[in-house]
Amino acid sequence: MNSINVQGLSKSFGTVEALKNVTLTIEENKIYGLLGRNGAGKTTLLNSINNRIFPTSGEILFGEKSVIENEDVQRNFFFVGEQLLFPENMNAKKAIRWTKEFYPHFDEDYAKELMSLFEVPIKKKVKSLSTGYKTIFKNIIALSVNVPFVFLDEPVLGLDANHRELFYKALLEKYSNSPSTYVISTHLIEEVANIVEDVIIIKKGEILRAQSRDSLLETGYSVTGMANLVDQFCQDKEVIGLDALGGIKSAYIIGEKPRETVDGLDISTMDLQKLFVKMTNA
Amino acid sequence: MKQLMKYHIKDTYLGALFFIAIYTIINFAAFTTISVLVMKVDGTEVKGNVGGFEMAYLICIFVIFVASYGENLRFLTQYSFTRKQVIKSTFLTVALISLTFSLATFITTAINNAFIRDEKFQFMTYLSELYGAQNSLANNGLVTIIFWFALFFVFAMFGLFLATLFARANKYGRVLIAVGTPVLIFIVFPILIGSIRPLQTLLSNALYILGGFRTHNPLIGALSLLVCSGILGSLSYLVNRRLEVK
Repeated sequence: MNSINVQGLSKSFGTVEALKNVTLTIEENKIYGLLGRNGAGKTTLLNSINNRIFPTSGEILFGEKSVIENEDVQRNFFFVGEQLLFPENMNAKKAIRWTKEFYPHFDEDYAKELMSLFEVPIKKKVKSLSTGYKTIFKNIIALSVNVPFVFLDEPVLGLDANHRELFYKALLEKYSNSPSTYVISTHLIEEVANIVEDVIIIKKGEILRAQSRDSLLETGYSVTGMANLVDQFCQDKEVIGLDALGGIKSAYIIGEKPRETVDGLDISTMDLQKLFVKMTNA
Repeated sequence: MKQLMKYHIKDTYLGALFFIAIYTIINFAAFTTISVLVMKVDGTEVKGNVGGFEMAYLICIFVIFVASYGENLRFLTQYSFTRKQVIKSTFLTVALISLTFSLATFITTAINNAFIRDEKFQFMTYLSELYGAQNSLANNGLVTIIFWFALFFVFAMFGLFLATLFARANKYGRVLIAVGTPVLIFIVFPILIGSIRPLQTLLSNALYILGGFRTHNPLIGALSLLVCSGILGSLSYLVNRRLEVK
């Protein structure tokens, strides 16, 4: 079983350090959520893995082979970035034809089925599609290529709520019928929280967390109650965020959630978005 | 590589073939018909030559590779092809189109020569103008094909080199390349040649020898052009190696 091993990856653009000594493993047959604030380094990481840009230092291995300029390795990946890289005059129909040519396992029938489901105008030039339809088009190609690792950078950018729901449904169906690894970089954490199995949180070019969603959610909890009680409870605890409204205070704590209830305090598990916001604000 | 060449043939080569077809029609319609008509005008003393249509092929092949490389690189990178694969397949496409254009030039020249048979009005190509219309080598079919191939190849490689530089450069670099290239070729270079005598002499002598004019041998000229192509190709390869696609 081959996994992607990122070891000590750093990338600088001039004086800006986009990635700093990133080390992580992306395993087969999982759905990952790659989460980070704007400018955190998500796209840089994805571009590095997919041979679009070159690391300043460190290495990225697939099994034991470097991913850089390695056609055998890159054949196992498909990356859909925010930028549309198709020629201006190419229509969706032609793009599908070329995808079939370049990726022998590409499921053309499935792609056409999705095109019909999402009502993509296939004779229209790709460049003249709306933002939402460009994203849908890219996602359909990504779901149909049938490679072991698929990377999606902002796969719901510009999509309306209906299309977003359709996309998540299609992704889960595809994943259950023929598992691959999907790495989804997104800002809509609430929407992907129930889809992703593993979470990678990146902050200012560094990996903050890389673990399963469930274990990540167990690392923190929230406490709500009267301000004085909350303050008393929070002594000697790792508080990563506080919200206050009137005399009521909420504290977000990293640590094991207490098993016993505490009088006057409401202790609950943080959802993924809240945990992400508090961790990246801290 | 087979998949890549299929793409290049459908994307670039078919376009080049279409250009040959259109241009051949224009060539016969415009040049040949007018030449024949002019020759046949009674009482008119006509003397001169017609030709030089190879210039259109030179400009076409240059533009093809300046314009298409960046777009092709981005598209093929989307499909996980490496930079090495893309540039190697582009080199093969350059060779294929150069060969096709050189064959087209040869065939068109042969047909035009068959139509225009008048001592006062000749159909000439750049090859015969450069090396002499009576030069046996310049009139040899294989030699002409080789020479044209080399000339088209170097123009294409120059276009490709500019395209790779352009893709690699930042926004200021791109402006520099876009403005600097014509300024360098059409202003700076001629001024330097015209005003610095030793440079003029050096360049003239170099062209005289490397161009095969001393020995009236187009094959030497072709070899020099291919060496230039090799240099341009190597530079393109090196620039392309570190191109970031984002």
